[in-house]
Amino acid sequence: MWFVRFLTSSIGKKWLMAVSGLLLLLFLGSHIAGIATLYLGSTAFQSYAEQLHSHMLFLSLFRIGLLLLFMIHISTGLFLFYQNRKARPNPYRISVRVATHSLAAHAHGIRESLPLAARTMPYTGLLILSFIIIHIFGFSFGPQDVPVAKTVVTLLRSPAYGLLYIFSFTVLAMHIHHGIWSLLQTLGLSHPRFTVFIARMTTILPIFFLIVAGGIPLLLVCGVDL
Amino acid sequence: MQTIDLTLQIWRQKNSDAPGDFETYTLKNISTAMSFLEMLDLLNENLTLQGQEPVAFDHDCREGICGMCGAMVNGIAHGPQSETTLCQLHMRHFNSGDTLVIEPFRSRAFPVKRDLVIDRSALDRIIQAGGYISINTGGAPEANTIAIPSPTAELAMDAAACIGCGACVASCPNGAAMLFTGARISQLSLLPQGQPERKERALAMVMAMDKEGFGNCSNERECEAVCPKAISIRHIARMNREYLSASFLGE
Amino acid sequence: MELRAHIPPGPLAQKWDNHRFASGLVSPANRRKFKIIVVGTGLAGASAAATLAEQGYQVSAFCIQDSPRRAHSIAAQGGINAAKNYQNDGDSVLRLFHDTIKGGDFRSREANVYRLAQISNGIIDQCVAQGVPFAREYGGTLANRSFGGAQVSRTFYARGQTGQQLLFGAYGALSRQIKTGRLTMMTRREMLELVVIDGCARGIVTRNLINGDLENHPADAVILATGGYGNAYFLSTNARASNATAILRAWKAGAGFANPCFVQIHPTCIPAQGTYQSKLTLMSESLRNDGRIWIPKIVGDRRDPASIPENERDYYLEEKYPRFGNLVPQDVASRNTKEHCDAGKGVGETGLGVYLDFSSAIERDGAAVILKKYGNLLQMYEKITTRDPLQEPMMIAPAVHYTMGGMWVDYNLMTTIPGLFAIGECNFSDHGANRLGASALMQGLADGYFIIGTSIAHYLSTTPLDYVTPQHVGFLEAQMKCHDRTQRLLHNNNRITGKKVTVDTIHRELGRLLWEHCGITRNRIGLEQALTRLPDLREAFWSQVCVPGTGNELNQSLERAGRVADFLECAEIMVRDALTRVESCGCHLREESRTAEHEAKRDDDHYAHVSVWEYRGEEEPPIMHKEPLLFENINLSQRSYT
Repeated sequence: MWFVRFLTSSIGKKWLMAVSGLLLLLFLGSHIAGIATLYLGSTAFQSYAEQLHSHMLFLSLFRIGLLLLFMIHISTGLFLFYQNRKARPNPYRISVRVATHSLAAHAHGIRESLPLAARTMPYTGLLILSFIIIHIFGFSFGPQDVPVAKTVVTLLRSPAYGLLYIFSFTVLAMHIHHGIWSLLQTLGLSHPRFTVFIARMTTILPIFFLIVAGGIPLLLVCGVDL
Repeated sequence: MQTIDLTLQIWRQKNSDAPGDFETYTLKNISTAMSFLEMLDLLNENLTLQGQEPVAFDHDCREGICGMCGAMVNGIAHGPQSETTLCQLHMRHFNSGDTLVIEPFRSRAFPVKRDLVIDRSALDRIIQAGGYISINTGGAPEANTIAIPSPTAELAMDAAACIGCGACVASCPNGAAMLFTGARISQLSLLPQGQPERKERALAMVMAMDKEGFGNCSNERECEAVCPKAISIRHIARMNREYLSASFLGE
Repeated sequence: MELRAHIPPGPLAQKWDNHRFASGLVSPANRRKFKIIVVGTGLAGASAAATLAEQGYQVSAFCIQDSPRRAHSIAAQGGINAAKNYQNDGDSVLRLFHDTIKGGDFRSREANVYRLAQISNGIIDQCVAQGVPFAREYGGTLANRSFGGAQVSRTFYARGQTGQQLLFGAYGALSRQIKTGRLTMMTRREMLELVVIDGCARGIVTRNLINGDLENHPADAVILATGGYGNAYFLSTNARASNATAILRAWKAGAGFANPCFVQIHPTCIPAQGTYQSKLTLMSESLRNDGRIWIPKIVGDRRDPASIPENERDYYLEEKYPRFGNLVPQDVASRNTKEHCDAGKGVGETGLGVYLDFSSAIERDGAAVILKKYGNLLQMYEKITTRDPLQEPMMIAPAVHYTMGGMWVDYNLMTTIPGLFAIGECNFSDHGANRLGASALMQGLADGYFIIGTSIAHYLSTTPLDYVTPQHVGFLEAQMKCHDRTQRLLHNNNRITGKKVTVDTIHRELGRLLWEHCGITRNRIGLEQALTRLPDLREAFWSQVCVPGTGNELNQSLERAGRVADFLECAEIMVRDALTRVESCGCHLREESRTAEHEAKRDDDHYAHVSVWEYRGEEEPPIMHKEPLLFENINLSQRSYT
């Protein structure tokens, strides 16, 4: 079967990571758009949440799909991580990373800002996973009798949770900083003409997400009433 | 002539089955005009006269084109100078008193044969899987019947400059051979002569690469950074593209 | 030793056709019954192995490196000649033939060279079809550059890496045959003995360089493609593993060694910087198009080149050869440079170099133009020497580059041992006393792709051969010889001579001796001196050389020791040959044979022949045979550049 052969190949597995990552990124975009309604006030957010929950069938399918995507992304990622470790059974005594900026980016005078991001993908991924679990238990499975907007605002107003929220989005920003570039490369979408644009997007987009999502707890903790 | 003294920590391993370990040597009066391999020659001359076994290391052309030499020098494949093979690395880039840790290129697919000598035949097997154009001797058309735009030829040449030294694999955190494989697939997919076997080639070469036990690419660009011929990871992207289209749109 | 060249009859242009028609064939179904051994996987070896396997023979190819892709053909920079006449500048097969014969100073065979010129076009077709990324014009057609020794642009190139790209083409073809299973690739093997049974070459004994095993490989024919012996000089542009062991074993087994003294010395290399130097790096000759060669007039002038005024500079080539100036042929440039360095006028720390100055060209065309023309070469120079040739003159020195001499072969490329063929640099056939730039690649591929197939088929179809096994007494004897030799090398350690030397020490000394006496300029006294000193050096080697380790492991000292032992013997044949050739020709100047202007003088009356040396045992000196060279299609002319 060509598809099995494809998925078990190294590039196939990377493709799986890239495609699931891309879809998760799209979900993140829509999710952030939803969260952003909080800036318009709790009422707007509450009505967004209620709108969403009124399409139960759609939501359930969406949730199952999302769960599947996460499972694929995480399990493939862990499997790749395991395989990659196996590829060098005897580690080096000294190992230095030299790709502080890629040659392509260098040619355009752009420094890759976070080589750390590339090297910590499995770890940032796992951090994000643990955050998602906390997040789901806090918000989605929060008290049923309280409006969800109130739960969210209450939780995010607590400095500890607010900080965790901001920290997690920073980690997420790092993860997708490398993720965006990596998925384009894996899908073969690379051309010198767009190198600069892609390099910029991999920084601008995660920071934009971070500002939108991180701004909420920041405002709340600072005492702004939403 | 300026000279320096160095402390060398070199991986010594009798053969593939024997366990290996680092040995420390001090080497004095190294001319800064020497190449790294000439420095090792000097060490070996001294060791030989002292009745010890010299350090085995691979080398041949000593002008940076054959791809035979290579070792990790303080954690960097081919040492600290970019776009330079070990044989073209000169000792003036080091300071007297430095300690150099010299290790063989490591990967599951590159077993150590002795000291710094490794077996890179896995790379040959990737090429054997399809890294060529199937044309019998004598069956070629007149050369100028195949017109190739100069920029395409130049791009193919960029990829074709690969010397097969294995530094990309050695420096990849995952021990992946994507840059090596990508360069060859990319070169042949760019040229009109490579079109008939284009899909089959991408499938076969990637399969051979996976079979050898190389790791997977995580786009960390270390390969490109150490490549003595500055081969761009664009060629990995092109390989990915070739492989995807061959998988989804092949027969 | 009988030297029958088997030149086919007929007019020059029809000889190859006639020959192919007259040659025997092996039918496709029968080819798989024959086993062919190819030693070496450079351009000649890889192309031959791939082509023969394609035709259906069982082929075993051997290389000394870890991969066939590493052979030293890879280092050829400039390009490959072919008589395509794409530039419409008057090129033709006849002109390429003329240029090659004349460039070789009339010491090669007409028929062979004509065939080479005829085949040259097919090579380009073949390589393009293999995906070799040759440089292109903007219209997409192939580009050409001009090269020394020719007035037409006929050189095809792939940046400064033509050899690499052609080799990858042949390596691809080889890899394809490995996949089909018709070709067995044996890497990290060194040929230590040729096995001759009933007068025919029937196989080789190799040492597995990883575990030291001696292995017997029987075959129906053996093809040597082991390159040149330039490393006898220690310092050369050859790769470190290039050696003369295979051809020397073949010589001792009865193959004639032709023109051993014909060695090409390239004028533009980076000078040696110290005694530790292990290798010389070539800089393309094209640099002489824009660089002016000079030295300080005052002996021992150690001033910075920039502070030496114009009137104290000696532009010796421009002054001596006003017509050609800095573009005199390689040998003339090398010779004059060496003469000046010997007189103490050389520059640089070692006094072995001369200046190659781009300042006039920069003044005339601007630095940008020069950088565009020679950018990669200038960078390479800067990387090695840390000096910027745009700011100060480059330093260059002559270095051993190529050996025109080699195994004597007939028109079939067969040596004097039936069934033993020699192709590429390891034979003598096409370059005479001097090789033109961009012709080595052409010859290697011509031999491998297009000639050897015909020869092998003819040999196999006309020679009855019995089946031999690896246990044949011939193999056992050969293996014993290898074993004894290895033991002899290893047990030098235990000999109490009081003095230990390393292999490289002896090799360096051998190199100096050859360079001094059997290099660019030679004379009887020097050569005789060398001949008396060589046995001492050999004695020193065998009694003092220190080879650590054992024979049944990866032992690079042992490998090198074996090769140097053979270089020591090879050197003797070179010197003997140089002694007998009392004429200046091609790459070398014999001091006894000079014109009134002190230039090289060829002596066609006495030396228009190939000198072929026959081995007659350890006790007897080798004897020389002559193959007279007849020139029916070209007029012998004396070169003159003054």
